[in-house]
Amino acid sequence: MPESEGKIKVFLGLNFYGYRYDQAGPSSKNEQQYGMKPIIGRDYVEFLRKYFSTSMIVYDARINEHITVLQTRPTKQQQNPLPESIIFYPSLKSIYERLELATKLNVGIAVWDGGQGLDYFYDLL
Amino acid sequence: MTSYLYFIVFFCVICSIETTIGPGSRKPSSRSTEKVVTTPPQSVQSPPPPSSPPSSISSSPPAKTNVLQRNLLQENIEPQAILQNHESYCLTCTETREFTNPTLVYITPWNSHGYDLAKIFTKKFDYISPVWLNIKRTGYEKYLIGGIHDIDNKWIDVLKEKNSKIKIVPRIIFEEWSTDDIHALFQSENEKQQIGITLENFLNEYKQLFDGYVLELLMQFRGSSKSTLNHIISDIAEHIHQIENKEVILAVPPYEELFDKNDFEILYEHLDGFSVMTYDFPNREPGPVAPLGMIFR
Repeated sequence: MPESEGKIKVFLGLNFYGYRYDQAGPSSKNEQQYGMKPIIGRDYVEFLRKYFSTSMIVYDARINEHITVLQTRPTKQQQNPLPESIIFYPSLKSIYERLELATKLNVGIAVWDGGQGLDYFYDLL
Repeated sequence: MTSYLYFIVFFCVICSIETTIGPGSRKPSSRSTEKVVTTPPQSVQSPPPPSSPPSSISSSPPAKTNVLQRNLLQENIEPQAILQNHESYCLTCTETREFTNPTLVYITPWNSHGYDLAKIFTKKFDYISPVWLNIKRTGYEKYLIGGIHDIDNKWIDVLKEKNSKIKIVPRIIFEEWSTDDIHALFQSENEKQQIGITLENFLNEYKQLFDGYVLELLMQFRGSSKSTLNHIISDIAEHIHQIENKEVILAVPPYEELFDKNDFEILYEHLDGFSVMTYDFPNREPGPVAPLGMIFR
């Protein structure tokens, strides 16, 4: 089998960017429209700087990623509204777990891309 | 076992993917206007946290300890912790590797902070792949490599000075080919020879700077004959390997239709690496970029 020959040839892709979903337009009933666009570290930090007091970060163990959520203010019509924005952007933990996986699989990693990440991510490499 | 190389194709809708390795090289409008219908993840149903008075949170400078020593790797994190620490990498560990298997980093001109980070953390990488080059067919048995204006000799000199073992393998994309050009390459042995020669000559010309290529063509040539495509790729590799110590890495989209275990086994001995793009799993609703469980089975 190839990988027993020694040289590691597989590089597991590691994203240093994420995706941001923002509510787009008025909602109908329980369904909500979201528009999606890529987000890089610099813009993620900008978002947190703006919304740090109203956003929260939760860890989803099913996907091993952190999710950043900006809640919509509850109104009389909607007591429990859907979030205004949802961001899937890598965290130290999500990166660390992928590095652990790469070690376990005995493969390398390939970061896309270096300039999209947060500086402290590099401590993990 | 190579079974983990069965990349899981979740709900793979190839037609919706006009992507290259990452969002950077994607046309700006391709996904941004996509309308999706969704329900939020379960975990985000809880009410918003009590709001604290706005204040400016300053970002700490680089530190003497790494993020693990500072206990920043947490499941429960506050936005404030990211704002405070994201620039605070460990100044004294930039040459220490935590992850010991091979590492590659793509650097794009449009996220130029990457040029600086690559200089700071050169020792943490085995391969640096600047995203500069493209190759096109310009006429009968004629191929042209573009993007040369982006080549930054001085930056590469600094990288090689900081890490003499670093390999600079520019990504070269086979982009915007007409159907006729693809057809010509796939039909003719001479065309295949010429593209190999073009890539070999270019690398010879830039021998001092570059240590090989990362080839990105699988998505671009999707739908073409797989056996011919594998033949084209191994031919190119053969040309590159004519030059001493030059390497060929293939960028691999995570879709079994484009690259499966059989392709991997055919190409394994011909290539030096496979950069698997285990992200950008297509989502029609808010969802993760690279869910761990989906990456490999």
